[in-house]
Amino acid sequence: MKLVVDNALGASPLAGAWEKLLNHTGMGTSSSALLLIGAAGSLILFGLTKAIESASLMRWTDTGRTMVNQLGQAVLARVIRRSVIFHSRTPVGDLMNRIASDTWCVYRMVDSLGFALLQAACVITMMLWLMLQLNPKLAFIALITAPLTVSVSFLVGKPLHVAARKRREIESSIQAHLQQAITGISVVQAFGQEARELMRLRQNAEEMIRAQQKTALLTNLNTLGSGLVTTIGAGVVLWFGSHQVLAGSLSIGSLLVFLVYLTALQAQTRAIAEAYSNFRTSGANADRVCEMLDAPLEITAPANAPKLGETQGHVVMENVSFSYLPDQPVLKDISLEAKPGQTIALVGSTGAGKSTLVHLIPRFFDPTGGCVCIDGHDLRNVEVESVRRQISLVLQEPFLFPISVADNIALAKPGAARAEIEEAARIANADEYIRRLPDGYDTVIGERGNTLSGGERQRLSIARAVLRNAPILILDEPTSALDASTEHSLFEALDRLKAQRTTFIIAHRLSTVRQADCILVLKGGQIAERGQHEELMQRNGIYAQLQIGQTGKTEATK
Amino acid sequence: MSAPQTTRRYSMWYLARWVASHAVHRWHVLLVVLSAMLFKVALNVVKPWPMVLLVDHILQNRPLPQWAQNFLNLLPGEPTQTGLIGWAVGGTAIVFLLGWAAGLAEAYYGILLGQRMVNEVAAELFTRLQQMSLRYHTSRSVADSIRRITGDSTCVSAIFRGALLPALTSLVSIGLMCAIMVQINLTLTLLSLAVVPIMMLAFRRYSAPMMDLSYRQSEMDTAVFKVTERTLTAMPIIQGYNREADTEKEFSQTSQESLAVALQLTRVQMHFKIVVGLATAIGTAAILWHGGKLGLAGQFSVGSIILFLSYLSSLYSPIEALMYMSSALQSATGSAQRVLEVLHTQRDVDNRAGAVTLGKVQGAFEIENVTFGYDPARPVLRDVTLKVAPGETIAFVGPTGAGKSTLVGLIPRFFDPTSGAVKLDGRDLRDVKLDSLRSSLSIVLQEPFLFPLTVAENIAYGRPHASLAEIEAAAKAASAHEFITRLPEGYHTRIGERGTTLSVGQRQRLSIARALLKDAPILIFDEPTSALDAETERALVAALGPLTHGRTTFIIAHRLSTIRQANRIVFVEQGRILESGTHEELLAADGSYARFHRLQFATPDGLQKDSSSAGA
Repeated sequence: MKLVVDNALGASPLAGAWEKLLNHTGMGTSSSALLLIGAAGSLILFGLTKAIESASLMRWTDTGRTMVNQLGQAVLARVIRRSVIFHSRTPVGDLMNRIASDTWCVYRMVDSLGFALLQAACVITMMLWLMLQLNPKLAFIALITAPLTVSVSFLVGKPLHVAARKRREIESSIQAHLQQAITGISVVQAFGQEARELMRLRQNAEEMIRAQQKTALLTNLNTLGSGLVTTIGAGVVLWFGSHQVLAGSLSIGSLLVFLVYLTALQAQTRAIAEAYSNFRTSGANADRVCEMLDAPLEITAPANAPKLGETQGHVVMENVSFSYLPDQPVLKDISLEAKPGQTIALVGSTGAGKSTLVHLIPRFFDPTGGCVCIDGHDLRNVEVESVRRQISLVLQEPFLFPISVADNIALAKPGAARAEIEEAARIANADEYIRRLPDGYDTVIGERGNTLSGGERQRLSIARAVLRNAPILILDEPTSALDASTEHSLFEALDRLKAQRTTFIIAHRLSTVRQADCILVLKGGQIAERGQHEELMQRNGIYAQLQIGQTGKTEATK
Repeated sequence: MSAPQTTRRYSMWYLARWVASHAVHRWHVLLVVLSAMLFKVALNVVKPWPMVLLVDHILQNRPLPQWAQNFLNLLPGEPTQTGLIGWAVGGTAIVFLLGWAAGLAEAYYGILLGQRMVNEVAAELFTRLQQMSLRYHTSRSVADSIRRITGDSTCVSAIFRGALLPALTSLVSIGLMCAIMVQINLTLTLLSLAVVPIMMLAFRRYSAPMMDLSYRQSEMDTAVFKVTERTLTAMPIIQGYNREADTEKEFSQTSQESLAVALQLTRVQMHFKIVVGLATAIGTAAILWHGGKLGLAGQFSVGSIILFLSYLSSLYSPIEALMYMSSALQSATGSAQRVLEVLHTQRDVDNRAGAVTLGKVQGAFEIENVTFGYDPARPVLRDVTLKVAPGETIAFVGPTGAGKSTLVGLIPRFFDPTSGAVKLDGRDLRDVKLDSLRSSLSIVLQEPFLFPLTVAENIAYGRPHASLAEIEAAAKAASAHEFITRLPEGYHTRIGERGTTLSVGQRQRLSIARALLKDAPILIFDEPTSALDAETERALVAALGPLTHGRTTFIIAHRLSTIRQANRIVFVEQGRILESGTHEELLAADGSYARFHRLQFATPDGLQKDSSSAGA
């Protein structure tokens, strides 16, 4: 705030010094001492203004950027609590933009609206006051144009906002496109589509130019409006002023000072117009940020919902149905019970809804009908975090982070001791290869985990689940990327782990599900068969068919 | 794994030339922008004259200089006082309007010019990144690459429009102002120019630290992006393991670090500005004093002082601008370094001089003593040698991490061997034009990556102009037709980003269809069916059988049922080929493959039966 006042001060006494100077020269009766004072005064004032300006700039850089960071954090906090469905539909590039770029709107808005406007307001008030002192009549003439300036700004405000929004959307889609193309670079290269991807970038970029030009045009219209109006004002003042001077009712010095003030006034009205443009432009970013902040969370618990303590891992689903799109049910009326320590295997063809079903347990999303309970608590009535704390996950994709191997495993249990981490790795059959890595457990995994093979990555994610040591274990095709021998040794380890835990396992290789306490065969989102391996084999239904399909070849060749 | 590092320092001179090279061939737009800018300079010269006319000659009734009198005589209307006031007032308005028009032209065409340049650099970056090998991409974050393309590329415009062009017009303006001021008063002019050396010194002093800090600033801002990206791509794990709060903390820490650098940069920039500002303030004060004295002595009219002060600000503002510009320039150069780093990275997979276009491909491969490591110190493949006859189907089997995917990755030249050579039809792959090599391959990769396009567009990715009938045929062969028709809009359903609204098995089948539609003489399947259930897989394998006839096929699979029909099975372990032969041969040899095969069907109740039946 000091900045504002001082800038205004800087402008006005400087003008004051001029006034003296000019009056004196005009009348030709003064000493050079006054001149010296004028010159030295302007120098001191300059030094003061700069010092305060710098101090406040530092503060503002600090405060402003902190505001941006906090807003970014708030958006991130919101976004990472959205359901997995939301994430499967929203491009990562777009979200990244909202979190890391659009949040700068708060900086720009405060900068333009807060500071620029306040500064302008102070200077304008001061100028007006001085002008009224000097010559009320001229001041009123100068003022006539003020409302016009404001109305011009408001006229272009809306289109400017729309244009800026459009521009952001294009930027965002460029980001999303690049994110895709670079993540899928192997496909792009393998299919020789580099030129096409480049063309898409170029098209987007061309569109971007048009959007930018449009904003520039509107911004310039805005400054033209205000500039023109103030220039006309100045012209009118000049006209009347000169006549007054000629008539002898005004000194030349006064007219000049008046004009200096008027120029300062003009500069400030333009500053206001620009601040308004900036404000409307950042408004587009603000929209995108607010969209995220205001969107309701899909996964919530009622206020002061109880925490789920240490559970037995008794999972019950009652008449659960679920659909991503209104009339396309993925799960229909599913009921099941997993007693503590039981292993439930889910079997069925691709797309039958197996993954969707197990994703309901950690509340990655909620069922559209029916309910899921752990130890008798409907998941929707207990704290979300406490539900997830009951669960260890091994998913189809291992999701490794570019941090050390040890930290990747410890993701499941922050602050875990090195010994615990190594123990978990041993159980997951990962210890051996980790020790062969350049820095062992401290090896930082290459971005996207690509320097490890699929199996190696998956074993790290199994180690995570081991370390988590939760009463419920979800294995979503954990071994589809592993070879038979690794899978075999892994299942030995997992067997130990499964013993005390309620386990849900999805697997295509039926050899891995035979010992399950209950096998559920899913078909078209419904449970088609359920029972143990022998029962199902005897029934000679879908499961038996699948089983024969997989091992039957060997039997057939017999 | 360290990415190829290039020297990070480019001289200011080099950057200026690089940027200018992107502008000169758009000379017509450049011309418009330049003339608009120069026009504005000219207007600055004219700007104070109506005032001088008003003050000195109308209000104080001094005689006009001869040239001005002549000029006024040309104007219509009576040379009365009122008429002259009218002209003076009108002149001010006209000068403003012209200034505005020039400003608009400058902004409008400036954007066109600047953004075209940015787009060109972005396209160059993207092209280069697309050319880089997978080895390069695996060691780099996607977010970093994106930032360089979308963010750092704007540096060309920032440097050109923000520094080079203004520098040019500033120089013209300074020259012009000096010339005019010398006409008015020599001493005052020299006085006002005395500050220039101080500014130059300040520039030299602060230039290097500003450049360094702004480079770090770009890096830090990118770090924030990286954190965001890796969080967003791993949502199930973040949520499943309750890592939301930690993620926020990480984000906040990274942005705090970025803030610290920003503050350092601001401080240095500010010091610089203060020095420059102080110099101009001293100059103005000196002139005020000296000019005032002259005025008192009656050697100077009020109008002249107004004129001089107006010119002084027209002189100092470009000088100051020139100086501040350099601080803005410093941040742009930080980005420029990051852009040039990529553009100057040696292409690691490139056409050799004299590379030829592949003609009709027979499909005979010779892999000769190939050794390869993403990190040369940690070889993934060691001295691998393999001969493949045209039309053969080779299956690679072996434990996870044995190097199978890496081995087949050498065929499309996703990377080149560290030593040894891969030859196709007797010709080293490095002597073949890259695009002609890749267009003769169809690949299904381990990760079934799909684009956010429609299903049909995804299948036709390698052959954009395929007809819908061809697309459907490919989908049918890949057992994908059935589920595609059940999608909301069938073949025209758009796939959500990362393809997550489809199951992994569905994605795999789409990527198989994509490879089949490409219809190339060489096929590579890297675990194409790992996520499929047995039934779907069997149907698919049966459908693929006839398609591999007459084509050299490489397949990696864990499920041995998938590969039994291969002409030859190659067992890979720890980057070496241990055994090769047909299924029966290898079982008879009772080595690693046979052990592997037994394990596959090992179940508590089935171990005996399966292994005995397999051995039969």
